[in-house]
Amino acid sequence: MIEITNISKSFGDILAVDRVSVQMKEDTVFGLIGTNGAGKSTVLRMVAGVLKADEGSIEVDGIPVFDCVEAKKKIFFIADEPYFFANSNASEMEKYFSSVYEDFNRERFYAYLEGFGLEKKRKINTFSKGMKKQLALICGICSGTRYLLCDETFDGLDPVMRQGIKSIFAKEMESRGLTPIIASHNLRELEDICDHVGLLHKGGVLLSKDLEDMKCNIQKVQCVFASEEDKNKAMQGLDVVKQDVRGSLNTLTVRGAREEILGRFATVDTVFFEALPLSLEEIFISETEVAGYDVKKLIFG
Amino acid sequence: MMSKNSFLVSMKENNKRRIWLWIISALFWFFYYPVYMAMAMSRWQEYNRLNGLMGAAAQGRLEDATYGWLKFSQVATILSIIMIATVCAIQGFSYLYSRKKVDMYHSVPVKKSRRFAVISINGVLIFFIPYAINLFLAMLVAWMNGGMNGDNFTAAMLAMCLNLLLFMGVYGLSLIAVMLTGNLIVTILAVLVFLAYELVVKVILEEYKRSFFSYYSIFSEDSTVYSSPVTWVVKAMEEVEEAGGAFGAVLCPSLFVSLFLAAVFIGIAYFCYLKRPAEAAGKAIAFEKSKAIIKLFLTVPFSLGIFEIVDNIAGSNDGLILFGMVMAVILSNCLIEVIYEADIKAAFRKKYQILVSGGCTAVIFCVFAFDLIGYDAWSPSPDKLESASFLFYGANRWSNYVNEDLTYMGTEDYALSKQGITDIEAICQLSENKADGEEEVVWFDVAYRMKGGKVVWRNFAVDAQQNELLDRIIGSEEFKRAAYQLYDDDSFEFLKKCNVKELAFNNGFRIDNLPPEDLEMIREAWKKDMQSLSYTNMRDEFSCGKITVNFNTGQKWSGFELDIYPSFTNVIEALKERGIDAGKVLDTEYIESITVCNFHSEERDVLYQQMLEENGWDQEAVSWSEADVSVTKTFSEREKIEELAEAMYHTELTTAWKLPDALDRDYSITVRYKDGQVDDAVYRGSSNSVYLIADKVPSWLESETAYK
Repeated sequence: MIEITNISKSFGDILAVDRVSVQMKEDTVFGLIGTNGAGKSTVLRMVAGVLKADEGSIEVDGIPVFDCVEAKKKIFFIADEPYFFANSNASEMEKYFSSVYEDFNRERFYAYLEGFGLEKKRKINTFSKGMKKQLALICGICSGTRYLLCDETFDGLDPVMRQGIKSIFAKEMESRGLTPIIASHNLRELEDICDHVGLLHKGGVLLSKDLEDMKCNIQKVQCVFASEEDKNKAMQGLDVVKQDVRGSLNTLTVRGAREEILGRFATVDTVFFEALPLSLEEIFISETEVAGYDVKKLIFG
Repeated sequence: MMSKNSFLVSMKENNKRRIWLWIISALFWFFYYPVYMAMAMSRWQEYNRLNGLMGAAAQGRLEDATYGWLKFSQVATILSIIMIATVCAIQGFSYLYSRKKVDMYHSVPVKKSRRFAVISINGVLIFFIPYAINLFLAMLVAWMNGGMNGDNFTAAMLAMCLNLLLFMGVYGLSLIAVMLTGNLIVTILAVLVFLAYELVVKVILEEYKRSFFSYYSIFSEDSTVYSSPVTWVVKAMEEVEEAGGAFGAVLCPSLFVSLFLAAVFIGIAYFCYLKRPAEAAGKAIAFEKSKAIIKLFLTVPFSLGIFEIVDNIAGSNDGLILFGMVMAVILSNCLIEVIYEADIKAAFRKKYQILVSGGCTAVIFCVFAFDLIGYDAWSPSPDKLESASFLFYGANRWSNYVNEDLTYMGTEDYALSKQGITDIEAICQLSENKADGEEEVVWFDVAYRMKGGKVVWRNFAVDAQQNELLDRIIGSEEFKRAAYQLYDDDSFEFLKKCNVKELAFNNGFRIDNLPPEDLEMIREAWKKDMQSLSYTNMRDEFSCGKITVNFNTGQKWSGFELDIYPSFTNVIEALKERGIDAGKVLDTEYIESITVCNFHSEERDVLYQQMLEENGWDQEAVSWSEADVSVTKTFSEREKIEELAEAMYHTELTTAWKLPDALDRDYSITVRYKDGQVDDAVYRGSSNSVYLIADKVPSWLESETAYK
C-alpha cells in the first residue's frame, strides 16, 4: 500500500500540493483525478521519489520513498511526457530498464511489443505520441514493480489500445498483484479502469473512495408512475440528487442503497421501471455536492 | 558473469549515452598527440637536412622537439584539458537540466551515490583513456623517428599524472557549477566565474589599495589564485622539477594540495548533487537560498571594478564615478535577476537586494577611500618586529638575483631569503619619519618581518637628509648581504662555480677586460670596500665605473654589475695592478673637441606655453621644434676640454642615491676624438650619453651657452 500522509509541496510562492492524505491500496486501480494544476503530477512525482515533500510522509509498503532504492524498486513512474534516450529504440530502452529493475521481464516485453505492433529496432523519436505512451506502459508493466504510476498516460490512447492496456492490467493484477495508479484530468478516461478514485482540487484532496462504494450509495432509475399518487408516495423520503422529467418518463438519481431504492419502488404501481448504471461523472456529481463543490466546474470547467 | 545491476553494467549503460563524447575526445587527442608528433618529427627532420645536421646533434633536436610537446606546462594542453573537463562534467550531468530526464533517472531504483560515481568516473575515463592511449602513440611516433629518450618518457609520464590532476580539479569545479545551476548557459558562466573569481577579486582589491593607500607596496600583492587547480598543478610541476624530476614528486606539497583540492571540489559537487532538488531542472540556479548570496558576490566586485574603469576613463571626476558605480550596482543586479527568472520584467523584482548590494559596495569602497582599516597609519610595534628588509629605488629594487639553479629570482624573494635588518630602533624611526615631498627623498619598499612570521610590506619615502638613520640601515651588513648578491658568501659559493664569460671594468667611456680567474680577487677587494660603504658615501660620491661579471649560462640569467666609487681603494688598487686606472674617467689627450648643447628646458617650456596660448591652445598648430631655444657650442680649447671632462658623468654609471640636483641633465654632450688616437678600450658599442655633475659645471659654459 502507498500511504500518503499530509504531504505538502510548494514551488517558490506556488503551493502545488496542500496537506494531501491518501491511501492507495494494493490490487486495485487507483485513479487520481483533477483539473490541470490540481497537483496530480506533483503527487505522483513525490510518490515516485523524484520530488521531496516539504512536509508529510509517503511510504510505499511501509518504506519512506524519497531517496530510498528499496521503495523505488516497487515503483515504475511513467511521466506525462515519458523520456526515452536520444536516438534509442525499444530494445535499447529494455536493456537500460533491465539493468536497473532486477525483475524486468524481457520475454514479456518483446511479446507485448509485438502484440502492440511496435518495432523493437525502430527509433523511438519516429514514434507517434500514442506509440510512445504504449512503449512507456509496456516498460512499466514489464519492470516487475508492484506499483505503476501513470501520469496522464491514457490521454490520447485510442479505445482499442485502452482496452488492450486494461486487459493487460487485469492480467498483471491477477498474476502478480500489480497496482496501477493513474492520474488524469478526464473522468471519462478513468471510469472503466479505476476501482478507487481520489479527487484533487487546488492541491488538496476532495475525496478518496472506492468506486463500488460510491456506486452502491447512489442509484439511477427510470420509471413511469401509474398515477401522481404513486409518484408522490415513491418520492416521499427519497434523497433525490437529480430529477429529469420528460413527459411521463422520470429519470431519477437517488442517494441510497440499491435494495432500499428498489424496495421503495416495488411498493408503488409503475407502468415502467428500470435501474440504470451510473457513469463516474454522475457519481462524482453527487459525491462532490456533499462536499459542497460543483464537480462540473471542477472537472469539466 | 556480471550481475544484472552491477557497477560495471551501470557504467556501460551510462557510456552508451556518451559515445559522441568518447569519439570527440579520442579524435581530439589523436590529432593533438600522434598526428602533431608525426608532423613535428617530419618538420625537424627536414630542418636537420637543410642545416646539414647529423648524428647526435640531429637527434638532440628531435628529442628537444618531443620534449617540448610532451612535457607539462604546454599552455595549449592546459587549455584543452580545462575545456574537456568542463564538457565532460556538463554532458554527464546535463540530464539535471531537463524535468523529463530527471523524472526518469530519479524514479528508477538507483542510488544517487552510485549514479554520481558512475557518471563522474566515466567523465574521467572519457578524458583519460583517449589521452593516455594517444600520448603513448605519440611517444611511439617519436621513438620511431629517433626523438624519444628516457628523459622524454619520464617527462611525458609526469605530464600525464599532472594533467590528470589538473583535469580532476577543473572537473570537480565544473561539477559544482553543474550542481548549482539548472541550464547550460548559466553552468558555463558559473564555470568561468569559478575559474576567474578569486583572480578578479584580487586584482580589484589590489587596484583599490594602489589607488587609495599612500604607502601601498606592490610587493604585498599576492597573485596566487589559491582556489584554482591550474595554480597548484603548475606549482607542483615547479616543485617536482626542483625536487629532481618525477622521482621527487612524493616530496612536493603542491601535488598533494592539487589532489586535495580536486577531492574537495568533487566532494562538494557530490554533496550538492545529493541536496539538489529535482524541481531545479531548467532554472538558472538550483538552490533558491543561494540566489541572493551568489548575486551579492557577483554584483559587489563588478560594481567596485567599475570604479577603476570609470576612474581610468574619466579621471578623478567624482560625480561620474559615483554615477558609474550606482549604475553598475543597479544594472548588475537587474541583469542577474533577469537571468535567474528568465524574464526581462523581473529586473526590478528584488529591489531590496539592489539596496543590499549597493550598501556592501559603498561600505567596501569607503573602507578603502577613507582608509578605515588604518593601512596608512600603521607603523610596526618595536616589540613585535623581528627585522626588516629594504628595497631601495635605484639601488636593489630592480636588481637581478638568481637561484642556485641560475634561474631568476624576484627581488623581494631574494631579500626575504636573507636575514633582515635587525636595527629595530632605526627601522621604527625611519617608519615614523615618512616624507610626502617629491624632492630630495629616498623611496623604498620595506618588508616588516614580524615575530609571528608575518611579513608586512609598505612603500614610502623619507627625507634624503636623514643621514644617520639611512646610514644605519644601508650601511648594515644585513642590508648589503640582502641587496648585493655577490657580497653574500653563500651566494658566491655557487656563483663562483659558474663559467665566467666576461669580467671587465667599465666606466661608460671605456671597457677594460680582466682575466676571468681574477673574479675571486676582485670580489674580495670589492667586498672589503663595500664593508665600509654607507648611504652618505653613495649619495655624495660619483661612481668612477663598474665591474661587470657575465656568466655562460645558456638562455638563463647573465650576470652582475658592481659599482665602484672613488673611496673603493681596494678595488682601485687591484685594478691598477692589472694596468687599469679607475680614477681616470676620460683621457682628454685623445679628445679633439667637445660639443655641448644647452637645451634651456625651462625657457623652452615657457615659450611653448606662450605659443600655445597665441594659437588658442591648439596643440596641432604648435610643435616642440618651433619652441627650440637650445644653444650649441663646440669647445676645442685644452683647458675647457679638461674642465668639461672633469664634469662629465656617463649615463651608464649608477645614479642611485643621487639627489635630484646632483646631475645637470639639461646638456647634451658630444665628444669628438682625434683621428687614430682612440685605443681599443674606448667605445665598445656603448652609447655616448653623459650628464654633467652639477657642482662641476664650469661657469663659462653657462654664459657661453646662455639663451638670449
